Amino acid sequence: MNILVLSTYPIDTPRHGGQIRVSNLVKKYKQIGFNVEVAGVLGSDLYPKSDGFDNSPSIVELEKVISPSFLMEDYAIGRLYENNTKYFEKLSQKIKATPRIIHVEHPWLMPFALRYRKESTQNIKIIYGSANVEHKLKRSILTSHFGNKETEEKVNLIKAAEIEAIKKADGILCVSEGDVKWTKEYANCPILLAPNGVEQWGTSKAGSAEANNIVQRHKFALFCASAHPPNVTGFFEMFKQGFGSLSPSEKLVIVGSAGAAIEQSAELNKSACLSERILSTGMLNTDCLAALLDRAHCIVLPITQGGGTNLKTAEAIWAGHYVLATTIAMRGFEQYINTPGVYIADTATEFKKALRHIMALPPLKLKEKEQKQRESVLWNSTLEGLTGYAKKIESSLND
Amino acid sequence: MTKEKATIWINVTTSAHWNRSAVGVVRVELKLKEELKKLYSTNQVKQCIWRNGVFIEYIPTVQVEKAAENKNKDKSTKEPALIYPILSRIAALESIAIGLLSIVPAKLRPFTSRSLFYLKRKLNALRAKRLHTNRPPIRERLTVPAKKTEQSIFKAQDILLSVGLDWDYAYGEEFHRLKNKQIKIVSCCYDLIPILYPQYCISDVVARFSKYFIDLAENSELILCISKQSEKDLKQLIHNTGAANVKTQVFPLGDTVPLINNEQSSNEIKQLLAEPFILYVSTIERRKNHQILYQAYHLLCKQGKKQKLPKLVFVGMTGWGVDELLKDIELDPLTQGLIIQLNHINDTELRSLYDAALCCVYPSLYEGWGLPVGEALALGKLTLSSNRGSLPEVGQNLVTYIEPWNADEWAKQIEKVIDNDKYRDEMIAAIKQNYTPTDWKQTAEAVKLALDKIINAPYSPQKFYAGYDLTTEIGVYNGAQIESQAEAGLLITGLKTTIPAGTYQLTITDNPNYRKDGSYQLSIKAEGAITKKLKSQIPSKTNNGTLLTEEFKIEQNSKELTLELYLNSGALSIEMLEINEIKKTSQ
Repeated sequence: MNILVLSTYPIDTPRHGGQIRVSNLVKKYKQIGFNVEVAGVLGSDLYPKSDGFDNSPSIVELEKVISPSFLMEDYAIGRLYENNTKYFEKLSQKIKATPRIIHVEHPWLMPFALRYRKESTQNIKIIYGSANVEHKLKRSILTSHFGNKETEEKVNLIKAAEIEAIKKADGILCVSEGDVKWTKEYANCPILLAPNGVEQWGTSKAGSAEANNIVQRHKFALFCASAHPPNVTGFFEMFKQGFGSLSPSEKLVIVGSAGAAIEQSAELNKSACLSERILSTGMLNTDCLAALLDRAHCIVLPITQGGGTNLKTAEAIWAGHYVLATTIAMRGFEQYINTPGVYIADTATEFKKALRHIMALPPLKLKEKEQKQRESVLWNSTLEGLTGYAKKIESSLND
Repeated sequence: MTKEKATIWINVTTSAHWNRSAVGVVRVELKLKEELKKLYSTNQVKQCIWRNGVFIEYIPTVQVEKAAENKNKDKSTKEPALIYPILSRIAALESIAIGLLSIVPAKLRPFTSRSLFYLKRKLNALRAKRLHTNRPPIRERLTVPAKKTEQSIFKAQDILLSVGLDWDYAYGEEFHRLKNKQIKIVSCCYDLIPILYPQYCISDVVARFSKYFIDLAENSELILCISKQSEKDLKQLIHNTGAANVKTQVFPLGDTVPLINNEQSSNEIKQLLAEPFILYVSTIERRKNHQILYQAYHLLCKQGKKQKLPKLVFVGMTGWGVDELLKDIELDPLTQGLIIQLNHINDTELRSLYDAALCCVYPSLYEGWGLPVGEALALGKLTLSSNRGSLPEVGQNLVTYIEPWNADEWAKQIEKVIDNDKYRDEMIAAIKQNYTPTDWKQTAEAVKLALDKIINAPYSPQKFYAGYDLTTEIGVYNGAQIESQAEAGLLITGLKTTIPAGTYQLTITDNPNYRKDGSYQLSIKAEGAITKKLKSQIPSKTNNGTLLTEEFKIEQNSKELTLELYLNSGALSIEMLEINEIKKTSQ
């Protein structure tokens, strides 16, 4: 059975949360026994070229769909590859094996998938992978760039695309209870809750040496994040107006592209002591990241906006250290709230106070039972339900 | 074995570098030093200054020599008399400007006058910048250290009392290092004005001062606050930033005005004293709100009341942001001759002005304390004050409070003081009956009480995490732990903390799952000399996570306790070392 996974980012070297999720979905589909093919359109020039993926269309083409296309590139790609036959054909030709199931991650390429199904001679089922309630997340990003009216117009377009995806799907994967709740209102099929997870990691000697070289002998809190705007916004929302949580010998280590965005922000120097306490590493190899996750005293998740579940939350929980998160960051992992070592704070003062409290505690030592409980964040566990769910959809092809 | 007394080190860096009359922070530092020396036994209070990144003992012999030198100079009358008196630099510049204006042709005078006015503004701005940093010119000769030593002056249980202009010095890192060595730092919070009211400061200094207070909270054992308001403001900052929840204590500032001594009053002051006047003692800057007094006087003059108005005397240096105000005062025909600014007056003159003033005013927009209000009350003067910040703490119910931006109300209250003898007499009587001045001895006694609490506090157990606080030669750091790497050698070394004389228990915890059969050697050193040495076998994995519990004795307060653990064979992952006092040493 062929399954096609459509996405707006490649997964050859998964880095950000979305890539990691798709990569694990692909693994899971393979485990179930499907022949999996991944295709799509590169949502940005920054992604490396990849087999099965059409290059990012030029801004001129995107602006023909929506102008300005800034922050609406994904939406514009979806409509371009649906309505412009040249582009539709280009992507269609990338698909080598005719699929019987198409998994569309995010609503963007759903219009393409629907046209593809329509023009196919095969009976094709479509699974919609909702990574979050997209229009809500987009609203918070768009409001900082556009006026109210323009923002609402754009949000409505995205919401319509999402609803269309939900209504026309034969199966839907959601990442959090909140996501399920919203999706249910429009869905015509059963929904599977498949939260984000994490893969077990081990530490290598080289990774440890590299990590030690970065943090020296500092006790540190760790923040792993991409430069995705909500990550940077959340960081400054929680650490604004002076940062007294860490002593001069402690550090807040930022791993990932968020570090550069934070360092370049004018907000950084407005918050006293913040620039002195942070240590931005940039992107790291997985070995070094694993060693840092092992050595951290605490992992912070200052996420204040966005839907879906945060892959970094799963990573933080599995690391076995203290986790300091906002309620939003714990979306999809609510069962861990109030478990040993997990602290929740939703305002800047609470967050900073909690961080100071945690840094003064002895290193967390989870009991065997508690560590076992944290195992449910592993991908094996979060995607467990996908086997039966996908098989059901497969069998419905014969109906 | 007798416990040595803790030394109280007073950081006098600010006053040692100060060469003007001691006011404000400088006065607090000097007075505390003087009075604490009287309250503690000989040699228990010592002075230190900050030099080349360390605190060194300060024995002001040079100062004494200088005083002696001056004394000798006064005695020698051989020097020829000067034709003109020596003026201050500012007065000299003003004289040059006046002279220049007088000798240029009449046609060029308006242009010259304007040019000089703008030049004055520029110079004032430059001067204000210097004033803002509050760093006086350094008297290099006075900073010559009495003792040149690289060794730390602090021993176990010592206290460093630092109440100067500390935000101008890079003490932060050293304070943190000293705190880690168990030296107790007692600092002072005067106010948080640069954070709360940056608009009254010369530039945006919020982040700089926030950092200063965050670091201070982190490193201090106690922060002395000069008012409840300052304490409240500091605690709010700590709450907002997540900084360390440091102990605070409010202490009263002395408000006794220096007595008249044998200094001479100038003719200008003598003339002024002959007529009634209202007194405002404060640096002239935006926050001090001289503007409202000028507006009140302008309003009263406009109402045709100029004749009955007493002079309004501003005593203080010109700060920043008041050029326009001073120009308005200079040019306003309505208030012409009524508002006078005095600068560089001596203690005798200040005391005479206080004594003769009809009333004192203090319209400041915010204060951490408000010493002039206390001084005025101490001298039984009727006082009109702003109701902002800590001023109601100082004035209690003995002062007439006025909203600082309400010019009409200030005009009304000033007129009441002038017209209503009964009101004036009643207020003065109430002040004399109810206001108790605070002398600097009381200030020092309050501080002593706080210091004694720290000195007598029980020893707090010290915890060290190997991975963060110690170093290794053969191991690797893994978070809080140091793990051996299958070779013999120095696995952990460090501590480098101070420790008082006494008997202690050392507990070392490790990760039992990491253990491999073998042996290790441990040595504990105080001031480099071994106080304990032992050899032991690595326990089996089935034992709990305590590698060792051992007693050791320290004969004298030590400046540096170190520990070394050599691994002979096997494997260990050391996590934590804890030192607890098990036997107190009598004091």
